[in-house]
Amino acid sequence: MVIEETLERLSQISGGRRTAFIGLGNRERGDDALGLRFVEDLRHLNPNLFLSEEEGVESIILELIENDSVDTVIFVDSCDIGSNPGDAMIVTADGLDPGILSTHKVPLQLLMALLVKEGKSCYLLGMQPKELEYGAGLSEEIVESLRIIENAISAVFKE
Amino acid sequence: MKKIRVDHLSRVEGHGAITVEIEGKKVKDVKFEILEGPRLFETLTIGKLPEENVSVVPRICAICTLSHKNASLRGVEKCLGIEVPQKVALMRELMMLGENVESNALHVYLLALPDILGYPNAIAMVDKYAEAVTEGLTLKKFGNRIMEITAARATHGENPIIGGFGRYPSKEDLLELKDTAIKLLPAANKVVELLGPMDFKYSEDEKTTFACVNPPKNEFGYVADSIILSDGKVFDAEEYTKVTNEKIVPHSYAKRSSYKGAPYTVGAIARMNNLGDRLKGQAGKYYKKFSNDRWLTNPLYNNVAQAIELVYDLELLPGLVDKILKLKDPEIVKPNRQTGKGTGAVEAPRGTLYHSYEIKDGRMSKVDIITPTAQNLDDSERYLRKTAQKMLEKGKKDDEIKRHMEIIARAYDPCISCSAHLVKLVRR
Repeated sequence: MVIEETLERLSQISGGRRTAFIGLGNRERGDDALGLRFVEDLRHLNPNLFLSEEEGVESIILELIENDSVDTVIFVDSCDIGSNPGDAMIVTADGLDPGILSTHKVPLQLLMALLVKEGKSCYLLGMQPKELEYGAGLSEEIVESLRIIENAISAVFKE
Repeated sequence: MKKIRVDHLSRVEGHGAITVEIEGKKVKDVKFEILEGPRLFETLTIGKLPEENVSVVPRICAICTLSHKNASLRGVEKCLGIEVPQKVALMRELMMLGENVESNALHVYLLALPDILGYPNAIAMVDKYAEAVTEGLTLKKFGNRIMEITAARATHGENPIIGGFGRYPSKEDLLELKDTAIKLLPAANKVVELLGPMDFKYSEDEKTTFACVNPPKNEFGYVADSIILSDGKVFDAEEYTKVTNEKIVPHSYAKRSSYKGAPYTVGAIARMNNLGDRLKGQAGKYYKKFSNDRWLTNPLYNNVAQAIELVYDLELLPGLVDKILKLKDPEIVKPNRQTGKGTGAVEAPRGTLYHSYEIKDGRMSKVDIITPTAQNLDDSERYLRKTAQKMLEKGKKDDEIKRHMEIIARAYDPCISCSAHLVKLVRR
């Protein structure tokens, strides 16, 4: 899904101040850091609604479950969506493969299922990465797509 | 000949596979293969400073990181003639509780419970067991918090150092841990009550030997300088090779261990079977209530043993915090020699972990690390083979055999990244 369609979908989902965003990823692995960058860029809008995996994703989820003022949660991460670098799409938990639960990571699908069970709407904003090598940094395509999405979200929050 | 292959073992740490080779109505071979490449940690620190060694080798694993850190510190400190003060020992005990809570909570609630309750994974459990999943995550979070406070980070904390700690936690942080442990104990009790009465039927029963550390003063625990086996033998930790007897097998990068020529088991089930009589409080009551002869013959009971350890950890923690608060922060103990030998043995969540070192003129000259998963490989293959054969004789279908192979493998809570230091373990 290209950025314009993602923005349209985001505007339908995101009710502004009742939506929390959780950035996922690995800071060291190129475009995999895009979810973390997204949160860093927008955290000034509301530090309680822009949260980073680096703070402990289980803690974040458990706190959001208890937080009645948040009704929608959007995870932001790099995803292989079979598209061009920087393209993005929004999916629900049902749209994700069951995946593998390893000892090292609690899977995103489980966290989303828990939030849905607790009455939250839950989505993944996935963006196609270009480069995932260690130390590569964010690629130009990702930086540009993030800029467009972040501007749109900033506008909603500033309304 | 027919082959049943579980290509990717899900819900374990790292990449593993199982191959079952069947000829007619006989299981010809079962191989638990490790798909991770050799990581050569034992050679990385040769010639390096002991301080570098204790920072590098825990990177073997991000889930048992503090067990590796503690075993490494203990090995190095023995080499250098360092004896740490009581407060340091208690703080290290506390950090080990954090790792055990985090690891056991994840395995019991999110990896094993779906098998036991008949779900394909924890995600499918959420609809009916959301409360259990949430409690599992809450305990896991608490384990991480203990590690953050003691080691300065949940993963690869560098606060524990040779001769002591870089800094000591505040009274407020320690009291937070105490209060939370008390609050979470009912959740741990609940999961033991759920798992304890289970009659595990996925694996065929067979006698084995159990090994774990042997804490002094008839205590249960995760750190000691001697090893106890279920045949009653006790070895000094420096004699660990008499227990492990490592050998190389063609189908794996990881070395295999055997005791008296036979496979043996380490982990929570070994700790319960060897030391369960030493447990006090509610954990002791649960051990007496739920343990039975099948705990000696069936690896699936490792899941119950891990749950009882959660209770032990949460019961022990408040008293441990009280003791720590009464002691002054000690100075870091300096080495009194630059050459020596020493072995650190600890109980990682998955079983006994050895770090054995030689230091010459202040530089690492020999490193031998033996992980629990590597020690469990032969025994897990044996149970897999026996179960596959029985299921074949009962006319079970391939898919069912595959599922049971995975359940048995997962019960050992294998950590494949760790074991890949030596041998590549793959279950086909």
